[in-house]
Amino acid sequence: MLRTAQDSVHLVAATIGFVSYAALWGGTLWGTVLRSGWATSRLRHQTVYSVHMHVVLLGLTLGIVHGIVQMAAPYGKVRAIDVVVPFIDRSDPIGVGLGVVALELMIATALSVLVQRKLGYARWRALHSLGYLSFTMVAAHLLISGSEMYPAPVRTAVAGSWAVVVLAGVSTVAPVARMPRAVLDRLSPRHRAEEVTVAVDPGKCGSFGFCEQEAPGIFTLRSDQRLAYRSVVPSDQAEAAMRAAVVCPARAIKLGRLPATVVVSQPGADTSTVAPLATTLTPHTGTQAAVPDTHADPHAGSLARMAAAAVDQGTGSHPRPALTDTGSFPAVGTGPQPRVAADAGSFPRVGAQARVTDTGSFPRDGAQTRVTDSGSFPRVTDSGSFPRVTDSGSFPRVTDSGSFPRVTDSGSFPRVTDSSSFPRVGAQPRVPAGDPRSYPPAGVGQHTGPQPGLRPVGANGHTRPPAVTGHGSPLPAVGTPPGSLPPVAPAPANGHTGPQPALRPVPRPPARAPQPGLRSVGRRAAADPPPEDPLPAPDQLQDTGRHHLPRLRGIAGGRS
Amino acid sequence: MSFLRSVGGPAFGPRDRIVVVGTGAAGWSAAGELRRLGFAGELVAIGAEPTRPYDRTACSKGLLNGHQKPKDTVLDLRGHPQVSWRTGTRVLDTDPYGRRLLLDTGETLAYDGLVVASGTRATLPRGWPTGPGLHMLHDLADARSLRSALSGAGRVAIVGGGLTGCEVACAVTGMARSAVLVNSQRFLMPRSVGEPIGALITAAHLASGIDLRLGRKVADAEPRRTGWRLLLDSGETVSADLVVVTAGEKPDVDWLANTPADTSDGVLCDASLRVAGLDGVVAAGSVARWPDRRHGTDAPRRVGQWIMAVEQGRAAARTLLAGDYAPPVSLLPRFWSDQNGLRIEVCGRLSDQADVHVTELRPRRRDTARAGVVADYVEDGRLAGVVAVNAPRAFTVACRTLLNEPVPAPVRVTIPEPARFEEYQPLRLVR
Repeated sequence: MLRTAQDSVHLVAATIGFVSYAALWGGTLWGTVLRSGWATSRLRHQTVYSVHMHVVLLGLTLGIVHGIVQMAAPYGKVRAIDVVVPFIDRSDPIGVGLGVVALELMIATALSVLVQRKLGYARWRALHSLGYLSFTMVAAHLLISGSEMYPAPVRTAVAGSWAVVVLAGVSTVAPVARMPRAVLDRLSPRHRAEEVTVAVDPGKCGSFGFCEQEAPGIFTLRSDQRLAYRSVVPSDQAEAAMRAAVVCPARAIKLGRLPATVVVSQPGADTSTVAPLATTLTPHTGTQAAVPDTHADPHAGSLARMAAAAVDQGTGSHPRPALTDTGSFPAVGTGPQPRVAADAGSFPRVGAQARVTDTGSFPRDGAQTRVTDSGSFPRVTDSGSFPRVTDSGSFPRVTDSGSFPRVTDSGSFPRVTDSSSFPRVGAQPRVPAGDPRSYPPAGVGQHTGPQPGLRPVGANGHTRPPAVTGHGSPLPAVGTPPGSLPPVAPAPANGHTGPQPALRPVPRPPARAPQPGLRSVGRRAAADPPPEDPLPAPDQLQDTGRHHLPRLRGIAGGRS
Repeated sequence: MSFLRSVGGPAFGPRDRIVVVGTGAAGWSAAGELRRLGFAGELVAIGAEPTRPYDRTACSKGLLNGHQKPKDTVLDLRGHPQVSWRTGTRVLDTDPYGRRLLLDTGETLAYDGLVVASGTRATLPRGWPTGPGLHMLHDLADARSLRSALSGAGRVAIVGGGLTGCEVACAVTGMARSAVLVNSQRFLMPRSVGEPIGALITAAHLASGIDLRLGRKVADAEPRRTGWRLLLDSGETVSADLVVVTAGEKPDVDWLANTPADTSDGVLCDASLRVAGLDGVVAAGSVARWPDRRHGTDAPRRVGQWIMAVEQGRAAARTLLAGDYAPPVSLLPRFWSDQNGLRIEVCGRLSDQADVHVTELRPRRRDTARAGVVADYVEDGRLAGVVAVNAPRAFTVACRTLLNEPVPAPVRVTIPEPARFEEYQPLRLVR
């Protein structure tokens, strides 16, 4: 049977088209391999890169030839303009148009490699992922206008090859790439809680070798400048792995599951006396049973605002340390010893009282345990993007008058805002009645009472009172029974930053005398067994014996 | 010396508050180490920058050339439970006897233990004008603004041929912009890598297209309508759209000015990183000037390196918790740089008196630095420092040798006595 010229040309064009599709498929798939770093443990990065480049270029060239050959048909319906301008072909506008768009998109993607440096890596990377789109269009072009597409196996093969590329492309996206490990973690959490997983990003690793200096048992820089490492590290080597991750110049080492050890409580924590104290100290909160721990974080309002600001900008959330979750923290449960009982020093820590109030939600059934893997802890994972607290040179103080009265600077310190006239000789102490920034508004009546620390310093304007004899501390010692506390005592809701007790006429101790606060702690430390070291030495950690499995992974050297 | 430490009790209990001033590498690692060592009290970290702790080295490396985004530089806070991060807050003054800090929010914050990790800040040379188009590179905000300015610039002048200047120049040429680097010495990075390797790197940078003006100083800088014009002391002028000045930094110690601590150059510390003259205060990072036994001399010195800052932060935390039983701190200086494919790694000390042995890994190659070269600094027959370019394997071996080497006997420094109470001036605002 004799073919017509039309048939022959078509046959050549279709063959070239199929070969082009095959090359593009292989090249794109190899590109996902390049992206995921899977092959770099087996092959050199440069090799993988050049295979990707050359195969795709071959497919692209054949695609161009395919388009030109279409015009060679003697009775062909494809005009020159149809090969360049999409969707104007008269016989098959959609199919041919998709092919034309795909070809042009691929040419643009390939040419963008030349201006990669000019574009910058991230932009180029985004542009380069258009390759998936153009490959999809090529597959659609083949399915719509391919003349050999009638047999089902051929259609299935084309569609299947497209699906493979898309799946491989999706699997290189970071959240998807992390999924298998996350699933495994969920399946066997106990198993893995004792280990630290190590993953080195082969695209980032620059083979500097600093990790081997820190953890030679985990990382080895081989003589071919590739890094071999153990992907699972027993907990006794976790610290070395952490050090290696920190010093890594390329920040290529990612650790899974740092062993965070947290003390929950201490033995013999006597909380029976503090619980009623807490309720006594917080009468003004009314219906609020558990007071948010404002002592442990006196600027809780500020942090909350920071977090809110971060959320407003859509930039993720700031890790919110110690906002209200200090229930699991041994701030108070460490025993009934009053810290400031003997505190006649210059700065009795006002917070000491407020600290006692923390125990509303404490302790958690008296357990003194070491919690590894920080399950009960706020997950301070840093997955969020940068919470830029913009223009927060100082915290916006206007809004915080609601629940946290910032009566912070009414004591010996001048307000920063009027520092020009400092020291304010003859100035009245700033107890501004109507200043919403530094003083609770009228609604917070319980704070506006006579505060012990807010007495005027004196007209001489000194920031610090002259040494006055006498010890008229209005603050009750902690050891006093809860019922005898004066109602104004709970005022220091913001802990240390409350009214500065420097205003009290208290003699300053000589400079080198031991700090009174510390002395009281010292007594406690002498009387009580020292708090248990919450973090065992690495060699005390339980050896599970599981780390004898030599799991070595190799990755390639630096990027090209 | 406190009574508590003298009886050997734990220095800080669960009711104490330790304040870490500075959220850079040193503050970040100190806070983490305090928690890791079991400090159960309140832990507050105060940082002047409004961002979370991040990897500052990325400012001149990945952030500039676009390989890292700001969120990629965020440091891991998983090992830092229950730390109150007060970012965007500056400490204005310190009352070392009352143990209080005055913050720029107007609050006072009492502390029981203090970690000084406030780091440094970039400074302009004296007499330089400021204006748009003149950049310094120290923190994340600088890197952001420089990065955005680079997108519209064609020619960038970099003043200062140190490590940062070279990295900026490489980032600029990596973005297909032209870079002019003005350095007062005849070769690049004189202090960082020494002369032999510095000369090789200079040749490599010349070959890679960086316009080097070596042995020149900037006599005058003049802002023009578009860009800047620099007049060099040789008489030639350099016109550029942007000027990046990487000519020095200054320790951020103003907030300690009212304390008896020696803040003439950083904060003087003893061998265990305790701040001399202050009780319950340790220092870490580029602000700490301390006598390192590895350095060979008794002179305390500051080191502004990332790995050193991290290790100092850890050591300072240990010292703070150990009280009087803290061992002397001795750390091996190490740093790295990646400049246009030159992986530069340095460890140990590079003194002028040492014998330098330079080994070329591939002697026939003309681009010596790119082909791999190692310089060993030998003092009294002992290896003291190593500089390697594109020779990570050899560097790792040498560096592990140095790390495992026994440290010489501790250096004694005399610590000034804490000032008496009467000498203490009332707090004032430091502006």
